[in-house]
Amino acid sequence: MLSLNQNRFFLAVAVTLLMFMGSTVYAASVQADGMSAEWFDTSRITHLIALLVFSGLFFYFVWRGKKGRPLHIRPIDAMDLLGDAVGRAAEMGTPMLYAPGLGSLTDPVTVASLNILSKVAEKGARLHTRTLVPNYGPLTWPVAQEVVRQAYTRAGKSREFNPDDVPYLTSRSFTYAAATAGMMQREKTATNFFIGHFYSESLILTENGAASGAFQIGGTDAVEQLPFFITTCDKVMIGEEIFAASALVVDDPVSRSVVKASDWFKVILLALFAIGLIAALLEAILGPQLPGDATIQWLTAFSRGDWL
Amino acid sequence: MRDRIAYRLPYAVMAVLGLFMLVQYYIPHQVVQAPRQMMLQWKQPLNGFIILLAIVGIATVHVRKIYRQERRWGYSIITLGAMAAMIFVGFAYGVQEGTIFSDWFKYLISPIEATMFSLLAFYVASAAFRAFRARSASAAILLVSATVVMLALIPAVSQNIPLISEISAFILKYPNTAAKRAILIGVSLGAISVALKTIIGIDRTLLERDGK
Repeated sequence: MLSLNQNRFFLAVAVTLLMFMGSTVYAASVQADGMSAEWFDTSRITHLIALLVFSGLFFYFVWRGKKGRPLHIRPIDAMDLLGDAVGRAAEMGTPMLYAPGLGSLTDPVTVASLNILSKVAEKGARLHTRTLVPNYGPLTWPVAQEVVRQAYTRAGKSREFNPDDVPYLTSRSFTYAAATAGMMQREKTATNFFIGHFYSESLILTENGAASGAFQIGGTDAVEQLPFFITTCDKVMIGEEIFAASALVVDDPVSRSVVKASDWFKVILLALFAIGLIAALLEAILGPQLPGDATIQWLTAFSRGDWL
Repeated sequence: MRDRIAYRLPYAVMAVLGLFMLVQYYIPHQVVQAPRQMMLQWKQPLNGFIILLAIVGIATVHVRKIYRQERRWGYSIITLGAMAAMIFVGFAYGVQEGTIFSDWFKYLISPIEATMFSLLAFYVASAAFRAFRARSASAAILLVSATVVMLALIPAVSQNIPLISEISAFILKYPNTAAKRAILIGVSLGAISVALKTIIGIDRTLLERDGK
């Protein structure tokens, strides 16, 4: 059913169980001051239900993907232009710049960004175009370097990979912005990608790129930085589009299924919002103690886990 | 055999730790929370190693530049010198308030960063000029709503024309919050997808070997 083979999955489950047994022994040997003896946090029941529903959809669509059934996924403008963006740099004979953001490797958006980097670097390598990847996080840096190295290997150009193109710069945000802006100006990058989590330095990065005339694709999950990206980049991936793009760059049915599961879960959420909205309207029109009020109370209790 | 283990072990570790962190969120019992706290404590020494890795990385790049006398290699000498000096004074005299390390940080690094931060004002002006040209219907809506919100922040305007403040509050409370929440819901679902893909081993980009 899954790409992870069953033996490995069972092995993982077995090790998890062993870990639990080990932790029991460990817990018995430590002071348990201030720690709970409860086995389940009932206030998080709604989160668990949501997770189970989402996981159910996820595994269903992965199963469908493995069966090879076609799935339609809405197009993402920025992804459609990925090839053109790389081609532009190749035609101009200048490098591309890919900033994976200031998030840590523990941020899912950074992981998604590194997936997109892999594809960008591979396309670039095929066209003999360097991909410069300035890094902010010391933990992200070796991983980004390895991702680009693997991309060159896939393209059959492993000898062209230069580790100095994927440097670690600094972990100070404005110093990083200054160093990256300097890199853009010195190398005259034709295409810039800013995909990941950014803070207030985002405008310094993207405005410098825009001023140099580079074609820019941006994407971030930081809501506060999105207006800056929309203003200064040619194409922008808004929030979830980064995750969808990271799944779609790997052109296999399983990855497409993941996006489909997210979309269907959003349909369920929208249905719940619609019920809440109708209930609120009914309460406003008909007054309390009627179906609208009861529905609101039930939804509120459900979201807090009070209904258990 | 060794290759297979080396290839699969990271996935097994990711799967086990991923599942553990997922489960611990719902179980407050000490059997689960005690090892979780222990794992969080492990992060401290790990962070130390990561910083060491970064220092070695920076030093390697710049030593290589100097050795090969690449373009602008003189700046590499300055970088390495500054890094060595900070490390030396940090170890020799400590990093607490009043030491050379603290003074250099306060009077050199902080002002330089503040300078970069202050540049934002000019970048915002330049970006706003580009964004506020009403070339389409959506750009015109952006222009009008941004103008209203900005005017409402000026005390002289908000005191004399209360309607501006009310419209601004409406824009921020309803359309703005709705759009933000929609984005956050999408981001959260995307993050769960990435986490699930990583835990069950669908997402393999980060652990590729030999381009496979």
